[in-house]
Amino acid sequence: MSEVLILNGSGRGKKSTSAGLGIYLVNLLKEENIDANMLTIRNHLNSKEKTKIMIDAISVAAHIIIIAPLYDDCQPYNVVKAQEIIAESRISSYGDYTYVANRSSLIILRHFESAGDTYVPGNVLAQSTKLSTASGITITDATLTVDMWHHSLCSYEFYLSADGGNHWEAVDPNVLHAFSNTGEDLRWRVFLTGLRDRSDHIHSVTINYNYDTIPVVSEYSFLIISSGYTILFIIISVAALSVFKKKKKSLKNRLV
Amino acid sequence: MSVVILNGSLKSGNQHLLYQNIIEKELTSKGISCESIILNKTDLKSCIGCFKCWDTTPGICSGVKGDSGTEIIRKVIHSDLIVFLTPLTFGGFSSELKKVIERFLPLLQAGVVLIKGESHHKKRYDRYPSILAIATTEEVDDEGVEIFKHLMHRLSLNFYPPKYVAEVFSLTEKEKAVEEKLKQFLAILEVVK
Repeated sequence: MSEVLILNGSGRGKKSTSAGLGIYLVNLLKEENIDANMLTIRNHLNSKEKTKIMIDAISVAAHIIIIAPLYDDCQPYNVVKAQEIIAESRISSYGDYTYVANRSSLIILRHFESAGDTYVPGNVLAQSTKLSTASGITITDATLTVDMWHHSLCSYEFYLSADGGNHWEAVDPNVLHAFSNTGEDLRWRVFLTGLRDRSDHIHSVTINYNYDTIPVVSEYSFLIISSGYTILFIIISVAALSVFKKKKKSLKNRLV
Repeated sequence: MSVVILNGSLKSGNQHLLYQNIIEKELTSKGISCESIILNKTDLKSCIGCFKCWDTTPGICSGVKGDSGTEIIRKVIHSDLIVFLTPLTFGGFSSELKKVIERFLPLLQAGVVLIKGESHHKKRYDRYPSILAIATTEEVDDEGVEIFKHLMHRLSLNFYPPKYVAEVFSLTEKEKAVEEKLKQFLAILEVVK
């Protein structure tokens, strides 16, 4: 997924001034750690397969930038054609947190975003179901890492719970957190606060956790998105990885 | 006098045959020759912005090969009136119509001339055809109409039509009313044999 997709609408394609400007912008955005790519519209109008590639790229991009010359005081043919394709494809759903996910792998296949000015400002909660499936364990600490895009005017607060959500403890990403309230039911949640025209995007969350009894199994778990009416967020996956620490030695001894 | 109708309908949409037929019938009744070109049925390719029609083969498009572009442009510049038929597309022309308009570039010269403080490309020919631009839409809204008329105003600055008329029709408009309006426009444009 491109955070920013640049559409080059010039009839000259890669030789155009628009392409030059687009490349400059892509590099500029990448310097700011913003994922950006450029497509030349002209190259995607010749076949259904190529057009579909363009539609898919538009569908998942958070922002679209169209760069094109003025031909006859308006957008050139390539851009008009792209506009018609976008309208026909009904890409924009105005569903800020609408997504299509593969439930078996928890990979987002496609998500829809509003045009950029229709986010509902305020606070939104995303929360997981139980991640740890083993019973009889006591989860003592965990480290949450997150792959996300953050806007300086937005804010986020991550929480972990080891006791099924009875007690939520604020955590900082990439920092080991020792639970005050231990338990066997690990969950996470995040509050995202955004504005009408911008939002943080969460692409994935990974949690490494330690426990003090023998684990039974560790597996992927589904998410429940519990949100009201606020900003866009995209939750892709949670991989709960067990780390044997405290009981590693005893496990080894027993197997021997 | 001759008229060329450039029908910019999309393959998947309204074909504007009502408008095309009314204009053809009116012109025929006056003994004026008329040719209609349904653009989505031609092999017309888009302008690639190579400017060979300015600097290599002035007046002739030699950058795009193997299509009917040059033939259509020749008919346009030899006509007295061109009629645009298009679905209103984001306030402007359809891609089919926009494609052919961009191919008009050889009709101008690379050099520029100041017109009311704006630079515009010089004429290549002494005379250019007038333009009747008809857009259709399911729901007419003021903003769309304003954009379309402004766009046509800009086009009139670029392509030097002696006269032009631009109008947006609702697709729900009755045939009789459409016919009356089109006749009025042809009269304004002084379409007479």
